[in-house]
Formats: sequence, C-alpha cells, structure tokens
Amino acid sequence: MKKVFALVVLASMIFASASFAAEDPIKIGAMYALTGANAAIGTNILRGIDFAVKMINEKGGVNGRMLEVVRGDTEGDAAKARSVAEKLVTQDHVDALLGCHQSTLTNIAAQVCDANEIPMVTAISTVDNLSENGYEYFFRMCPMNSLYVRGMFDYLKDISKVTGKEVKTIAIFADNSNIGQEIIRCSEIFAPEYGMEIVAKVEYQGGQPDMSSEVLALRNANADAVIAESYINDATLLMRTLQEQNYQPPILVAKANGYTDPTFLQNNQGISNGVASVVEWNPDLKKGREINAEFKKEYGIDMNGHSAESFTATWILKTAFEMAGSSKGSEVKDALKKLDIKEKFPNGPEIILPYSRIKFEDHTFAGKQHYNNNVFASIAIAQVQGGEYKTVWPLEYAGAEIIYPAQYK
Amino acid sequence: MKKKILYILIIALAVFMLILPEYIASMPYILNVFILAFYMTTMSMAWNLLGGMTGQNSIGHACFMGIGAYTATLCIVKFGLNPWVSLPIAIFVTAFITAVVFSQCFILRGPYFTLVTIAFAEAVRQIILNWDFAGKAIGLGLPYVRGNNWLLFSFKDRAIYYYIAFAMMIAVYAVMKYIDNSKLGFALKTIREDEDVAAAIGIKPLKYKVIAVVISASVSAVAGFFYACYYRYIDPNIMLQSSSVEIVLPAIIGGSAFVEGPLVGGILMVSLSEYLRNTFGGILPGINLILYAIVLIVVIRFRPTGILGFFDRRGRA
Repeated sequence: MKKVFALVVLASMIFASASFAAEDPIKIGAMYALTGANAAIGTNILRGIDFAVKMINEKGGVNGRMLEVVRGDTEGDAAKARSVAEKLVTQDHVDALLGCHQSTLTNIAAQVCDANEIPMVTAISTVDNLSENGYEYFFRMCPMNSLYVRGMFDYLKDISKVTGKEVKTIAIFADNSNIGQEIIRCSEIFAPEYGMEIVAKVEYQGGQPDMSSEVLALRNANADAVIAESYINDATLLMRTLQEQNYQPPILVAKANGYTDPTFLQNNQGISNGVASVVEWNPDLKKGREINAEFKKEYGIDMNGHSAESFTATWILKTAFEMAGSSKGSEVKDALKKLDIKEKFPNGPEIILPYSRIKFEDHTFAGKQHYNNNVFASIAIAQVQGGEYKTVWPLEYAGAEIIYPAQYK
Repeated sequence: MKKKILYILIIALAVFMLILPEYIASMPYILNVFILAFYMTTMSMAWNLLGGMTGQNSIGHACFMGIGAYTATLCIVKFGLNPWVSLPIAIFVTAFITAVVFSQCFILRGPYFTLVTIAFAEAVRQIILNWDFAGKAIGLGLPYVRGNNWLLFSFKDRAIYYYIAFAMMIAVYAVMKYIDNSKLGFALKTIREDEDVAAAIGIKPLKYKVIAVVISASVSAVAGFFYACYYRYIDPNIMLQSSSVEIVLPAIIGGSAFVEGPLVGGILMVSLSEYLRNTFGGILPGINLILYAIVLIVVIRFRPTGILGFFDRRGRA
C-alpha cells in the first residue's frame, strides 16, 4: 500500500513539474459534427486540424507555445452548436475557434465569438450571407457559394480553349435543399455575365425514387453543359437514369457534394467517366503532394477537400498568433485583418489549395457588402477519368487533360 | 404542515433561481444551459397539455414552434415590424393554422392523430423549404445587434435572456396549472380516459381537443419566438421530426400525467445531456448519446409514469 502511495506521489510530482516547465499552450477550439449524419465529414475536417497542429508543434509551436485543440461536438444541431460555442469560448477559454461545417451553425458560433471577442475562422462554410453580418471577429477562408459557381463558369469558358467548342446553353439540375437553391440563384447571376443562356432549370425533391422525368427534361433542353448539385443518393440515381435513357450531356459539372462523396465512384463504376466536379483539393493537384504523403502515412487515407482546407485554416491561425505576438483576441483579430500570405506560410508549407494568396478583405458582391472574406480563394475542378477524379482545372495546376465530350462509360 | 414546508421550499427555489445569474454571470455557458432548459421545458409543457392531459400524442410540436419562429422572423425581417408586435402575430398565425387543420383531423382518433402531426410537420417543413419568401432551405437571420436592445429583443447580456426564459417557463406553468384545475382541464382528462364517456356526459371531444391543440400550439409559438430571438438564425431544420421527439422526452421522463412532469424532466434531461456532451463529446464522440439513451431506458423501464411517479402516493398511471 505504501509503495502505491509513494508511486502516486512521485507520478504527480513529475506531472506537476512538467506542467510548470512548459508555457501555457494556445488553445484552438474546433467544433464540428462528430456524431449524427455529418459525423464522417466532421472527422475528416478534424484530421486536417490535428495534422496541422502536430506539424506546427513539432516545429516548436507558436513562439515556443504549443497549440492545443479543444474539440466540441455540435451533433449538427443549431441549439447544441450555440452551447458548444459558449462552452469552448467561456469555459475552456479557447484563444481562437475553427468551425463549423453547416453554415447555420457557423453563423450561431460566429455570434458567440463576436460577442466574446474571440477570432473565428471557417474553412468550410460557404453560404454567402455568412459574411454579410458584419461580424468583426469572423473570417472565412473558403470561397463562398457564388464563387464556387463562378469557378464552374470559368471552367465552362476555359473548356472551349481545349475543345474548340464554345458553351452557349446550360441546364441546371438541382434539388430543393439550400445548396441546390444557391446554385440556381448564382447561375442566374453569372450566366448573362459569361454570355451563356440557362435553357432549363430542373428542380427535384431530394431522395425521390425516380428521375425519369427530370432526365427527360434535361434531354429536351439539350444544353451544351449541365450544372448539377445533388446529394449522394440523388447523384447516383441521376447517373443510372442517364444510362437508362441513353442521354449523354457533353459536359456535366457538379458542385462537389454527392459527386465527390467517396461512394459515388464505387457506386457508379463504368457509368461516371467524364463527370466533372468542383473539388477544394485533390490528391493529384500539383500542390501539397508531399504534405498529403505525410498525411496518408498518419491516417491511411488521402486528404480530401475538407481536411486540406482545415489544415490550411489552422496554419492561418498559427501565422496570425505569431504576427500578433500574443493570443489576445483583439490583437489576433487585427493580425488576421493584416495577414497577407503569398504562395507559402512563413516557416511553413506552401498553400496547398488551388490558389496562391490568402488575404481577408471586405468587398461587395451582387450588391451586398461582405466582410472578412478571403478574396483570393478559388476552387479546382476534377473529372472522373478511368474511375478516378483527376484535376483538370485550373489549367496551371491540372494533373490531367479534359476529356470531351463526356463518355459515361 | 407538510404542504407548508413544500411551499417554503418552492419559494426558496424560485428566489434561488432569480438571484442565480448574479453569481454565474461570468459563466455564460452555464447561463446558456439554463436558458436551453427553460426553453425545452416550455415546449415540453406545451406538448404535455395535449399528450399528457388530453392523451393526444403529437410528434409535430417542433413544427408549431417553427411556424411561430418563422412568422415572427418574417414579420421582423421582411415587414420591418418590431419584435414585440410580431409576437402576437406569430401566436395568432400559429393558432389559426392549427385550428383550421386539426379541427378536420380530430375526427380521427388515437394513433391517427399522431400520424397527422408527423405529416403536418413534414408538410410545413417542405413548404418552407420551397418558399422563396421564407428563405427556402438557407433560412432567415435576424439582424445582429451589439449590446443590449430591448426594442429589437437582442441582448449581449445573457442574464436578460435567462430572466425572460425563466419568466416564460413560469408563466406557462401557471397557465397549465390553472387549466389542470379548471373545467377545461377536467374535460380534457375525461377525454383522455374515455372519449365516449366524455361525449355521453356532454363534453364535446372535438371541441375540447381543438381548444387543447390551439393552446398548445400558441405556447409553442411563444417558445418559437424566443428561439428565433435567442439564436437569431432559423432554418427549416428546426422543424425536423427529431426535434419534435426531443420535445416529448422531458414530459415522458418527468411524468406526463403531472403538470410538473415536464418541469422536472426538462431541467434534468437538458442539464444531463449538456453535461454529458461537454464532458465526453470532444473526447469520445457518441459516448454521451449512449449514456443519455441508457438513462432514458432505465427511467422508462423502472418508472413508466416518469420520475414524479416515484413520489405519487396515489400511484396513478
């Protein structure tokens, strides 16, 4: 008994001295859905953060202070997100917050951060109106939805350089969820700008059992390109129905989501070649290959768009902490405002996402004032070739050539 | 004598709750848990008027709350009305819609009512999902205000929300307690026990069931208004069926036969679920939900009448 007691005392002394030796860590809150329907997404995002934190700490942390991640599980629910944010900010006293995935939750967390003067960066939430609220402490690294769609239109324009055939008419295939509605709204803004005409808007109900009439409508429209937005089940059903009705739109470009779901390629082997989709990042992109190799060693899988984005957002926070020279909320916020990263992070990796500069600015878009968006953020587009997604756009980072017209074989 | 002690205890508890924010003002998170508990309890009491007192089990209460939240938000955002003006409008719209829909549906008895509430909730959610004016699936945000503003019902000071939510809960409790002992309450309870007997002794089941659903929906609308003003962003997901089920739980756990049931169940279950998630949620995701489920199963297994069933001498079901 005495021996055990002595051991306990010894152990606690070692722990006590260890905790005195190091300086207080800088705490970063990370709130994502770790249970529920979005758990898989949240897990991938957290991998990116953990990986970046490990890398940063191995290199000596932020001016000698280690980074520490405090996780919070939102369960994908708005009311819970608020209490998670409150807890992270006011009880765990995190110095900055990363989150969330669903934009509604991000909005709620941003309010908590703004009220408590804690800087928050979102790497994932894309709904436009998030940056319209004028939160001083909220920064968005990823492109907003309209810029995703602009990227798709740029792709449609650039495709003519490869194929020699200009895209004049487009059809939109989207469900009635929020991202589906956003894509229609944004396409209506960009189509006239790019000299294209929307000849059909095919809306469907997510999870419906049959797509025949929708595909028929697409076929009748016979557009030069189809812009699609679906969840995974609907995306799969679309591919099947296209086969059944033997309709091959020459270009089908999707806004990620279901089309980049890991099961999409498995479920649609042999019928999905030629489908293009927005990706935030892709393993064959000409950037971040070494980092991905390390990542794969650690977790056994490639980075995906979300983990690459959260990895980058963590480095942004690290850089801001360093620039501020402290972890005080208002100073880190000012640092984020001033931050201007070109090509690579100071003492860190290159920007692995398909853009080369990160700078948060206020700007106006479609008549609305936006605050603290990374105005240089952009996307890449990948095409299914031989049953795998190959990056084909932007042309300077592309790992493969565009195949035109799409074959669906 | 015993009753006197009970009253003193209750008054002491009420005073304690009133001065509590003074001491935990520096812990907004704890205040937030209380606010969430008060809100859930209010919703659960609204449910209990139908489910507990009238015996009509609804799995669509999140939708009543959603109609209230949406009406209020639309009035504020689209018509520029003051929140205090939009509150009565929200209550009226919710009451009107439920009265029209359910006066037709109550011709059906028993499980059919439950089915109708599920269908009704999903239908309303789909309408909002496809309705441009209501922001479709993207949802609606209330203007973000820094500092405290009574006129816009937005406060930086969490304690104000605490008092408002507390007052809302107590007021609704008082209304429920009043109904419980009124002619209306006895009519509803008679309907719960036997509709045919009720009809035979001159209680019109249809009329009283509609009254119950309208009161219940109106209370939900008030809670919805509070939800919208507190979270300041709503989307159609607030009307998901899972939210409706969450509203039912406190009443069942506390004891749906008692007016106090949701009160006990709400405070207990919300604090339990918050405690579990914040202790384990970040470390071992999911374990909090498993523990929560175990507590649920244990309570229902050993005391189907709810926690208050333990203290009820008459042992009524």
